[in-house]
Amino acid sequence: MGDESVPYLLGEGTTKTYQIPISHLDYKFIEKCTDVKHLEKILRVLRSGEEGCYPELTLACEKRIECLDPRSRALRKEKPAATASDFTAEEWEAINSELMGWLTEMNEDDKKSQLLRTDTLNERQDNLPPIRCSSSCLPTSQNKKLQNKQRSKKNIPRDYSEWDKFDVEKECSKIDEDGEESNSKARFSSRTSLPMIEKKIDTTGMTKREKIFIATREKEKGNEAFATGDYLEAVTYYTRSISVIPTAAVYNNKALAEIKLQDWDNALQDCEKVLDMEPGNIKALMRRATVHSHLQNYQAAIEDLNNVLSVEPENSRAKKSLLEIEEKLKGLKPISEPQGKGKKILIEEIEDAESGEGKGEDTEECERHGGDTRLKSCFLNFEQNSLNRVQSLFILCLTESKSK
Amino acid sequence: MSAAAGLERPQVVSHVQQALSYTVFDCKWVPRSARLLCLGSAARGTGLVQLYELHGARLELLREIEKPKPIKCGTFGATSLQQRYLATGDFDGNLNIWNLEAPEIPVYSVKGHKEIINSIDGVGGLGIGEGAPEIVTGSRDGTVKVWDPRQNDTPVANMEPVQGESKRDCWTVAFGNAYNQEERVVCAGYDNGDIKLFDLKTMSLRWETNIKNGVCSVEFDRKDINMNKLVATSLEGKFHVFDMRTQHPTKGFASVSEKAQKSTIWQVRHLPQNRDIFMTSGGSGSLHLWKYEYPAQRSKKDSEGSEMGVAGSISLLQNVTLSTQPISSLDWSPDKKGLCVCGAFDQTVRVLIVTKLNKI
Repeated sequence: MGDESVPYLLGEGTTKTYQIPISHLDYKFIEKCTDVKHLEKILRVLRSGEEGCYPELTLACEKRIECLDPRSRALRKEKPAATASDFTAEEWEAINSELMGWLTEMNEDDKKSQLLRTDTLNERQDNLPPIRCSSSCLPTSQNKKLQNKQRSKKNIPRDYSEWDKFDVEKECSKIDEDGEESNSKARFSSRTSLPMIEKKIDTTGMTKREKIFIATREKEKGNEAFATGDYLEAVTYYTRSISVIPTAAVYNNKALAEIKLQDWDNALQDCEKVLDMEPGNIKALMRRATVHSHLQNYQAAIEDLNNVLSVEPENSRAKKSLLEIEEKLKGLKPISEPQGKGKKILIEEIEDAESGEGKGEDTEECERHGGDTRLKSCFLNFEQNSLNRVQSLFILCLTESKSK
Repeated sequence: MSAAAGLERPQVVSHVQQALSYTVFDCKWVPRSARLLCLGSAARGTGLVQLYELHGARLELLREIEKPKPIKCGTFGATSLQQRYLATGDFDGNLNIWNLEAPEIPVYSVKGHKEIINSIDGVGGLGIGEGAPEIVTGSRDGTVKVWDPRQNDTPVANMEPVQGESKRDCWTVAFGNAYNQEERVVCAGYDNGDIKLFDLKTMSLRWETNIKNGVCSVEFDRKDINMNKLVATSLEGKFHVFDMRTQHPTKGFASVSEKAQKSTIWQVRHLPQNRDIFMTSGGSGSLHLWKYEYPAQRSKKDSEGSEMGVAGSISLLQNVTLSTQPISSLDWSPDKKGLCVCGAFDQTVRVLIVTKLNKI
């Protein structure tokens, strides 16, 4: 008998699968272990029951893995759908009543739409774009580049009799075709140019509910584009939503997107529109103050901020911004902040249908994506305005410099 | 995992279960209503369309329509919000469009394919997608055809293998990139793992790749925007999320993949109200709810200076097991966030509510 078998004799066996020493199937070991893969193996052994059934040990192991790596696949368990017993009475009531409310709404809506007849339908049919023209057959595999059309050799006419045969119209149309082809090739190979999206939506023949549906959908698309930093796209979708039904919430979001794009004039206009519809709208006032600050209309900014504070005296962002502008006015003291690098400040959350005005101007960093505080970049270059000017602290969100 | 922490996540609540007397292949919500459709195959080999309405905690059968051939798939994607005509593909390769108020005779009918139409999608209707309303069908005969309901008999585009190339079953099709009147793409997945992206504006193959396992379902996160993400699910429990914003000249689109379970992932469906949340349904009777998170930078330059995409990450929000049989079809309600219907091979259709989606 070799030396290796001595530990076995002493009772220190290993598991059948993975050959984990039995001593590892222990609370103290699990608590101290930091190797997720090893813990996952232990978990599998415990779950399989081959070394016996230890439900509490299994639970402890799961907790430890969750602590180290919440995304571990080993934590996924099969479970049935939730039922009333999984919720508190209040929550269940809320879920149920929300659904019932929606069902009633749908019923009413349905009855109304049945009354509308098909005249409006025909109107819409005429407005549809034409049927796609070439019913061409596309081979399912093709060279990645567009197949080059055979360029026919142009015989340049030499003498007068040949010129007589020269067909001007034909040549012109050939040139046009080639031009289009090279355009489409260019578009195919690099999509650096922004997509051309229609700014207006044709709403002939739509009922109010349909318009609301479409306007909401466009707003959601705008919010999604905003969340990934595609501010131009966001502005386009907000514009589309406004073209169907103008609402203060969408104008507000649009203003914020324009602020990120440093489009001060449009942002100002949109803030004004919101305030026309809802005077005293806090977000609009704050955003207008930002814009004024960038345009160096400090008095106007101060006025807006004071308006905010008169309604929300505890609004810390407004207070902070006010202080900073006042300091700016006092003596253009340059604040020594790193120029060119971003500073993590504050994000205003954009409004979606459910939240409305609920989310206040709290100073909190918004976790946009699952726990990480990655902030979308909006790089506002103040250097161009002169190094003496103090940077406005209405910068809504900046990234940390990406030197990863 | 403490119960309290668990309840912060979205929960999948089973609301209604309805036993059916036939095999259901597809289920769809009727837009702007609390009604849903089940499409399938009756025991005697005919096709069935059942229209249900959700009343409180039960489903009421409003209408049952029988057709000569079993129906495999359906879509409302190409119809207007007022008309709400249903387009279906059946086992015989016929594409039909029905007015559910008068379903005896189809509004449009064509024998589009020689074999079963596995998958169908529509765009340009329901206020989703700019441009002409169109329907795309993918069939076991290896072809993918695009139809315009205003043109009878012939498709407006036809994607088929060239002479000499073997045909592969097309299992799934999806429209995308329909953000203005000219642009549109069709993505098709095949049984050998091929995914092909056809650009209908330039009438060319824009991209293709192979994910090694048969592609069961493809879907763009939103059809009517500049294409953003594409999810493709396959056999062996894997799915891939492609970032479609940056196409590299040789490497194509960046992707991240995830293994959900051991069995086939039959369907993927994005939440209509949030393009970064999607649900996959599996051969083991389970549903998984996922969230995609974008990377800090969505594109970067490679060593030669070309732009290439950077894929993000996927996290599991919730998973439930509803049945022992595959859940073959899944549809979110476009009108009520979190309400969804799924049909399984245990001849049951279930209406589910997913809670707390606002907090994500």
